[in-house]
Amino acid sequence: MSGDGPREGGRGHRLSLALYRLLLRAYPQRFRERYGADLEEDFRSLLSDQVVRGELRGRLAAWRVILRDLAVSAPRERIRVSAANRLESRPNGGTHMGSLGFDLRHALRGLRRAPIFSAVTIAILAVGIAANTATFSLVRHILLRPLPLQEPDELVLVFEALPRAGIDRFPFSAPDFVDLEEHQTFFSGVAAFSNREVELSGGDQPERLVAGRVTHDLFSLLGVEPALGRGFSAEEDRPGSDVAILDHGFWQRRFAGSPDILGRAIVVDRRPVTVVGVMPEAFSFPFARMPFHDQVAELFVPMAFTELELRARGSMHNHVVVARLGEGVSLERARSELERVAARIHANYPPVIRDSYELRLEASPLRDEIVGRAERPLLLLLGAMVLVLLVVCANVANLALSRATGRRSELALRAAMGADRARLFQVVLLETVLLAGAGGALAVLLARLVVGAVVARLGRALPMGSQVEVDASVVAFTVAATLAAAAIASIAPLVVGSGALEAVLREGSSKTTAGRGALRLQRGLVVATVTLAVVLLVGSGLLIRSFNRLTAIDAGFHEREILTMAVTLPNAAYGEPERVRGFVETLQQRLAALPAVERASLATSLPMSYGEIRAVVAENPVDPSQRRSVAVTWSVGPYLETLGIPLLAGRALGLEDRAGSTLVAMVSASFARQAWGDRSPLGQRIQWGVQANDRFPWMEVVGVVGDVHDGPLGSEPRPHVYVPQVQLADAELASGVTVGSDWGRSFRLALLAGGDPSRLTGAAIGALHELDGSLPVTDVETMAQVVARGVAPQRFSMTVVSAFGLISLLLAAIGLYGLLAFGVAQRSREIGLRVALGADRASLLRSVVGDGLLLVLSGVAVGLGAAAGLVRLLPAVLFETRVHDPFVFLSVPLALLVVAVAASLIPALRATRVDPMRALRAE
Amino acid sequence: MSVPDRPLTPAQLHVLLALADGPRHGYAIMKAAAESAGLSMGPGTVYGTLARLEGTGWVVELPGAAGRRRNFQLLPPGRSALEREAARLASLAELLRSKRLLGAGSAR
Repeated sequence: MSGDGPREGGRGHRLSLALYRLLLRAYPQRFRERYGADLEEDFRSLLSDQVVRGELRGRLAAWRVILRDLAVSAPRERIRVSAANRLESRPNGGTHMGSLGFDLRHALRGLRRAPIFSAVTIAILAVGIAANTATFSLVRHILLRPLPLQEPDELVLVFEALPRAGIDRFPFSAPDFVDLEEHQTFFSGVAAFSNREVELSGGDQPERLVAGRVTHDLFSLLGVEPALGRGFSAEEDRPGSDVAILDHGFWQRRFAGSPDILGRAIVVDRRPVTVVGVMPEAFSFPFARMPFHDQVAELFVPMAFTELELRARGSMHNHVVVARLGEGVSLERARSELERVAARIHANYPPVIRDSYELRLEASPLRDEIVGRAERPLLLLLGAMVLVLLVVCANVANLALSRATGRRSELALRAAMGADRARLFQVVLLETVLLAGAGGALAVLLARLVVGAVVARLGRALPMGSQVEVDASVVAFTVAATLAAAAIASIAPLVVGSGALEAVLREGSSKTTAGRGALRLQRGLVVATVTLAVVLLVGSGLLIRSFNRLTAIDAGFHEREILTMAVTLPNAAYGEPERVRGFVETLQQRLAALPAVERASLATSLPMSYGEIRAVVAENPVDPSQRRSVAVTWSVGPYLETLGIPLLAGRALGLEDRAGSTLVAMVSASFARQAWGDRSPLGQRIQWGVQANDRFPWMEVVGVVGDVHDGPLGSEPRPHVYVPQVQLADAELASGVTVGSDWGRSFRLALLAGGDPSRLTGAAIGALHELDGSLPVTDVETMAQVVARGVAPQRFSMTVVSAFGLISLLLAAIGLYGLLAFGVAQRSREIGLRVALGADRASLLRSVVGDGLLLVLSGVAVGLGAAAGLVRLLPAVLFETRVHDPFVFLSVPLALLVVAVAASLIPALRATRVDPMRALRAE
Repeated sequence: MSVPDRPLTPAQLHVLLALADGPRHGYAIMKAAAESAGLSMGPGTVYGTLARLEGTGWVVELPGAAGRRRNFQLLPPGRSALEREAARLASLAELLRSKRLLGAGSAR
C-alpha cells in the first residue's frame, strides 16, 4: 500500500529519521526489539505521505503526530513492562490482596523518589505526634491517674471548720474523730490518716521516710487490699503496736521486691516493727493533691492514737478523715447530718475553749478534691494539644495534596493502562500508611526522650513517679488522626478528578492546570495552619507573660547562694530538751565556722514551705474580736541575715536571747499592721492561743521584719512570727516525744555561701555527722531549686504550650513554603514567559512574597479573632496578666509576618531565577 | 489480562475495526483509522494496542518473512468483542436518539 511510496527524501528525511531513532529509546527495550523496525518504517511512510502536502508543513505535521504518540505511548509501554514483570514474578498476582506486596514495593519506590516530601512529612508527623503523646502521657500520669478504688464516687473527705476564725477547713483532732465515729450513722464507714516522718535504720544507710499513720479500716474503706500479706487488725490500732505495711515502690526500692519480707522486722524510729503486708503497685497514698497530706507514704503504720492525743481537745488537728456514704445517702443529707454531729462534738469541748470554738463539719467529694482542682490547667493543655493535632493534620494533608496533584499524570496513565481505581487508591494509601508508620515510630522514640527529660527535670516538683509510660493508645489515636487526614488529602484529587484523569491523558502532557480545586484547598489549609498557630502563640505568649510576672515577685528573701538541707533528731536519742538545744546550737556554730560559709542558720521552717501554723493572741489589738493564725518559725543563728530578709524595725533575735531570759519574738510587717495598725509593735506582747490564757507565757515583740512568701508565689504572704528555738518551752518540746511526733526536732539548715552553694554540701554534711553520724540528711537543695519547685506547675504549662506554639509556627512556615515553592515550580513556564516578555525580577519577587503575605494575613486575622475569644477561658491560670495583653496581641502577628516573609523568600528568589528559555522549551 | 465487558478504548476499537476487513500491517491500520474516523494514532499507540490485543487473544501476528512489515489478523474472540462493542454503541445511539440528541437523519 502506501508503504511502497517514495523512500528517498533527502537530508530532511535522514535527519528526521535519525532523531526518531533516538527518541525510540523512550520505549522499553522489549517493545523496541519487537516493533522498532516497524515503527521506523511507519515513520518513514508517514513522512512521505505528509510531504506530499508540502515539504516543511508535511514534515511538521508528521512530527506532531509522532511526538504526541510518543508522549502517550512510551510511558504506557514502560508501565506495562513493569506490570508484566510483576505478573511473571507472581503468578497469582492481579487481585488486590495478592498484589499488596508489589504495591508496597511500588509505594516504597515512590517515596524514595520523593525524598524531600517523605522526609518533611515524616518529620512533621514525628514532631506533632510526639508532642501530643508526651504531653498526654504526662498529663494523664499527673492528673488523671485513675484512682484504684471501689466506687470512688461514694468517698468523701470530712474536715472541721471554724467559720468565726475564718478557717474554712482543717484536719480532725483525735478526740473529734472518735466522736464522729461514734455519733455518725449515715456513713458506711469513717477512717483517718496523717503523714509523719520516720527514721528507718538497721540497713546500710539510715534514711528518713514519709510514713502514713492510718486507722486500721482505712484500706478496706477505700476498697484496696494489700497485694501481699494482710491489712491491720483493730487490735493493732492501739499504742505499742509494732506492725507495718509497705508501699509497693518502697518495697521494690529498699527490699528489691523480695517476697519473704512478710514477717521480717525493720527498724522504724529505732524500734523493731514487723512487716505484715505490701500494698499493690497501683496504689500510692495519700493521693496527689490530697489536702493537708499529699506526700506519698512509703510505709504505713496503725494510727494508734496516744492517750495525749485523745485528750487534746482543740489542738493537734492533724488527721484527714475519709468516709464512705452509706447506702442511698446523698451528699446533702450527709452534710446536714454532719451539722448535728458537729453540735455533739462541740458539746464535748471543755467550757474554757468551747466559747471560742464554733465548730462545723464539712464534707467534700474525694474526686472533686483530687481531680477537680487540676481541671483548668488540664483543659488548657488538652485544648492546646487538639490545636497542635489540627495543625499537624492540616500540614500533612497539604503535603499529600501537593504530591497527589503533582503525580496526577502518572496516575492518569496507570488508570489508562487498565489499573483499576481501587488499585491506585491502594498504592496511594500504602504510601500514606508507610509515612504515618515511620512518623509514628519516630514519634514514640521522641516522646520517650521528652518524657524522660521532663521527669528528670521536674520529677521532684510534680506529683509523679519515675515511671511515666508513653501512652500507647494516644500514639495510636494520634497516628490514626493524621493518617486519616493524609489519606483523605491524597485520595481526594483522585476522586474529584476522576474525569479529569482521562483529560490529563488526552492532553498527553505531564503539566496540567487541572487541580485548581486542590490548590484552593491547599491555600485554605495554609490559612488554617496560620490561624491555629496564632491561637497557640497568643496562648503561650500570655502564659509566658504571666510566668514572668509570677517569678518577678519579690518573695521577700534572697534565693541565691543558699544551700538548704533537712535533718530530724529522733525522739529516742533526743528525748531531753537540753540535748536538742545543745545539738542545734553546736551544729550552728560548727556550720558557721566552715570555710566559705558566710552565714549559717537552723530553723523549723524556711520560706516557700508552710511550717507550723499557730493561733496567736496580740495584746492591745486594734480589733479585739479578730482571731489570728500565723506561721511560726523557731530559729537558731542569724536567720534574717542568712536568708536576706530585711529587718524593718527593732532588733533581730540574737545570742542574748537565752532559755532563761525574757521571751522575745519578731513579727512580720503584715502581722504588725493587722494587730496594731499604725502603733509601733515594738514592746507589744503576744501569746500562743485562740484567746488570752494561762497556758502560754507572753512574748515581747523586739523586731519587725519584711513579709516573706511561705506558700506558692502569687498567694498572699501569711502573717509570720519568728521565735528563738532556745526559748521553746521544755513542756512543748517534751509533748512531741509523748505524741511520737518529730515536732520541734525537725530542722532545715540554711547556709549562705560566698559563691556556688552546692559546693558546701560535703562539708556541711560532714560537720553534722561529726556530731551524730547516724542522722540521715534529706532534701539537700539550693534555695533557687526550692523556689523553682514552687512554680513548677506553671512552668510546665508554659513550656508545653510554648513548645506547641513554636511547633505550630514551624509547621505553618513549612506549609507556606511548600505551597509557594510548589506554585513557583508549577508556574515556571508562565513565569518564564513573563520574564521573556520583560517582567522585571523585583515585581516577580513581590508577587510571590505578596501571595505568601496575603495567605498569612488572612490566617492572622482569623487567628487573632479566634484567640481574642478563646483567651477568655484563661484568666484562672494567669497571674496579673490581662487576657488581651496588647504586647502579646501585637508581637504574635509580627512574628508570623517575619516568618511568612522568610518562608516566601526562597521560592520567590527561585522564581526570579527561572531561565525563560529553558522554562519555555520544557514541554 | 482478560478484560471482559468493558467499553473498548478508542485505540482498541479502531485497530479491531481496521482488522475486521482482513489482515493488515500497522501503518495500514493507522491510515484506516485516520480515513474512517479522523483519528490520528501514531505508530507507538498502534503497536502498543496490538501487543495488548495479542495478549488477550483477540489478535494474532501472522508469520512473515524477515524484513517485511508484520501483518496482524483478527481472531474470533476479537470479532465477538467488536460485535459486543458495536451493540453497546448501537444502544447508546438508541438512547441518544430517544433523548433527541441524535436525529434519525441527523435532524438539525
